[in-house]
Amino acid sequence: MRCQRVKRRLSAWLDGEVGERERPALEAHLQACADCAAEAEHLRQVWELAGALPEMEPGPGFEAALRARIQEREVRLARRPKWGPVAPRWAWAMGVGAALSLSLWLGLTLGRGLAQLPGTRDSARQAVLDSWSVTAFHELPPQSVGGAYARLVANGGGNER
Amino acid sequence: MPDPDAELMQQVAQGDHEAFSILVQKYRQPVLNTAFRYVGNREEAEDLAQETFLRIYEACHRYRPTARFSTWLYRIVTNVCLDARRRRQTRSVESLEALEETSSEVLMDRRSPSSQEAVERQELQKVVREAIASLPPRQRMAVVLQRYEELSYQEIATALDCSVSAVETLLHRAKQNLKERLWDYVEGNAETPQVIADGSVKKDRAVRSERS
Repeated sequence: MRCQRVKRRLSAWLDGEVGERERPALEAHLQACADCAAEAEHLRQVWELAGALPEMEPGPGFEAALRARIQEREVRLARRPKWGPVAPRWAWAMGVGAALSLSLWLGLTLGRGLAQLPGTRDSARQAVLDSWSVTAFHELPPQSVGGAYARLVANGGGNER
Repeated sequence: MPDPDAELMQQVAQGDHEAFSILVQKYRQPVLNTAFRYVGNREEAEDLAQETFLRIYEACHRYRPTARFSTWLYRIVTNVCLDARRRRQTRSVESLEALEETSSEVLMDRRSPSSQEAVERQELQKVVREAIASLPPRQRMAVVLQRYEELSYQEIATALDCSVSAVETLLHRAKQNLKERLWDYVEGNAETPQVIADGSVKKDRAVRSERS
C-alpha cells in the first residue's frame, strides 16, 4: 500500500473499522514505513487526549422536569381544537372546491333562468329605446330635425338599432 | 434477537408510563453525556437531554423497531444537538466560558486523588474541550459518538443520516484538526502533563522514561 492511502485509512484503522482484507497490508506498511508509523502514533495519542472530557451527572430534578414537560405537552394537546389551529389541507381543498362548484352552479342556473323569462330582454330594451327615442325630443320645436324625428317615431318609423 | 428496549417502546405506545421511566433511567446518562460533550454547557445539556426524551415520548406511536432502539435514540439526540447548534451559532464560546466558571464544582472526575493532578487534569480538559468545540458541527458530533459513546461507523452513519464513507471522512478530518490543536500536548512536544491509558496524569519525564 502507498503512504497516501495508508494515511487516509489510519483514522478508520485506529477505530477498528478497517476490514480483514485490508488490515494485513496496512499493518505491514506501518511496520516498514517510519513516517506512516509516526503519523499513526500521533493520531493515537491525539485520540487518547480527546477522551479527556468527563461525564455529566444529571441534576436532582431532571426526571421531575421531564415529567413536567410531558404533562405540559399533554395539556396543550388536550386544549387544542379537533383540527388544531390549522385545518388539515384536505379539508381546505374540499371547502374551496365546494365553493367553486356552488358558484358555477348558481351562475349557470340563474343565467338560464333569466334568459328564459318571456320578453325580458326585448321589453327592457324597448323601454330604454323608447325613453331615449321619444322623451329626448319632446322639448324640441316641431320644425327642427329632432321634432321631425319625434313625429316620425310616433307614426311607427325610426327603427332604432 | 429481540430488542428489549423496542418492546418497552411498544409498551409506552400503549400508555405504560413505567416503561418510559425505565427507558429514561437507562439512557439518561449516555444522552446527557452526548449533549454535554457536544455543547459544553451543563444547563443546555440538560435541556437538550429532556428535549430528546420528549421527542421519544411524542414519537412512541410512530416508532417501528426496524433498527435497535439505541440507534434510533442516538439519531434523535444527534438531531436535537445539531438543531440547537444551528439556532445558537454564536453561543459555543459563551458556553465554554460558562463551563469554565463552574467546572471545578460541577464536573465529575473521580480519577485523580491529588489536588495538583486535579488542577492539571482540568487544564487538559479545558484544552480538549476547546479543541472539540472548534470542530465543525458534524465532525464534532462524530467525535462525541465514536470516542465517547463508542458507536460503530454504521451506527454513526445512521445517527448523522449519511454514508459510512462520509463518517470515515468526518472522523479523519476531525482527527487531523484535533492534532493541530493538541499538537503541543502530544508526547514530547510540551511539558504539559499527559493523560495515559488508565486515565491518570503523569509528568512528561515519567512518560518518556516508561517508553524508553
